[in-house]
Amino acid sequence: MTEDAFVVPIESSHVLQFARALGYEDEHRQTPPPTFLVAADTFDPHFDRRPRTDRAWFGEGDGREQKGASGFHARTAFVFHRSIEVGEQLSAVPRIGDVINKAGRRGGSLTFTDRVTDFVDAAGEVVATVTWTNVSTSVEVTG
Amino acid sequence: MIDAATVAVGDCYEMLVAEGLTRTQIVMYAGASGDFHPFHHDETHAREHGFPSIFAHGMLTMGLAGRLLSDLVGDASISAYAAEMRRQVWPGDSLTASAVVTGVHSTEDGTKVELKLETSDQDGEVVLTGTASATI
Repeated sequence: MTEDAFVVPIESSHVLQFARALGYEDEHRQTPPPTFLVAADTFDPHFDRRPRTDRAWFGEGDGREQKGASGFHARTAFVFHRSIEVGEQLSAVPRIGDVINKAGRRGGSLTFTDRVTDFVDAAGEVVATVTWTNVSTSVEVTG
Repeated sequence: MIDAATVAVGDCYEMLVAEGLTRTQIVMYAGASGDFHPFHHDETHAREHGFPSIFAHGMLTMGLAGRLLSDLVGDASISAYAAEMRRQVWPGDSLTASAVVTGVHSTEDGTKVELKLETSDQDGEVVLTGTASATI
């Protein structure tokens, strides 16, 4: 399955904010920190973990969302075919990768879903691939 | 920084990457990453779902652990970095990232170094495990 591709500018102030949030002390960098490409979600028009004007947000005691089936983030993998440079513009091309079902230790079932995003440069070369593995459960996850 | 001339399998490195993690840093990460899931800043929402408080994004933990990687090999040298989130990280936690060299290979482009990674909290509980490789 292929989702919509979207443009990701590797912009210096965004990289600076990201690096500061992680406690990096060197503020002028040509290459972003290794996990920076997750911040590409900022540019994904379908990203569901930010408020949008076209739908209600959840939280602050409204009692909505995540009643019943639930899930959590289990793993992320970055592969760099070359280093990413501040100032370049990449295209993110997301797709659904492997989907694996397993029995849960506390009952119910677990579904591991890989969301794979290739980052393509202006020359059409894949420069990095990010795989985000989410686990959905048939019972709600709580503390 | 790892020295390509002397690196050997079994070499160990360690870095304190968070000392008393603050809610403010978690919010900084939400803004910078674009991930505004309420579990990471909305205490009311987190408690409503059975958590004692908000907690850090798994990717904040992975990003913090990545600082050790940046320090050891330099960002431009990293060819792979993967991690699994083992436990939640809470405000006030202190995290220590560690890396062990598991492989050293000579290649046309330089010395390829493979690392096994682990990050633990102040109680010694492992919060993240992973692997990385870099050519230095």
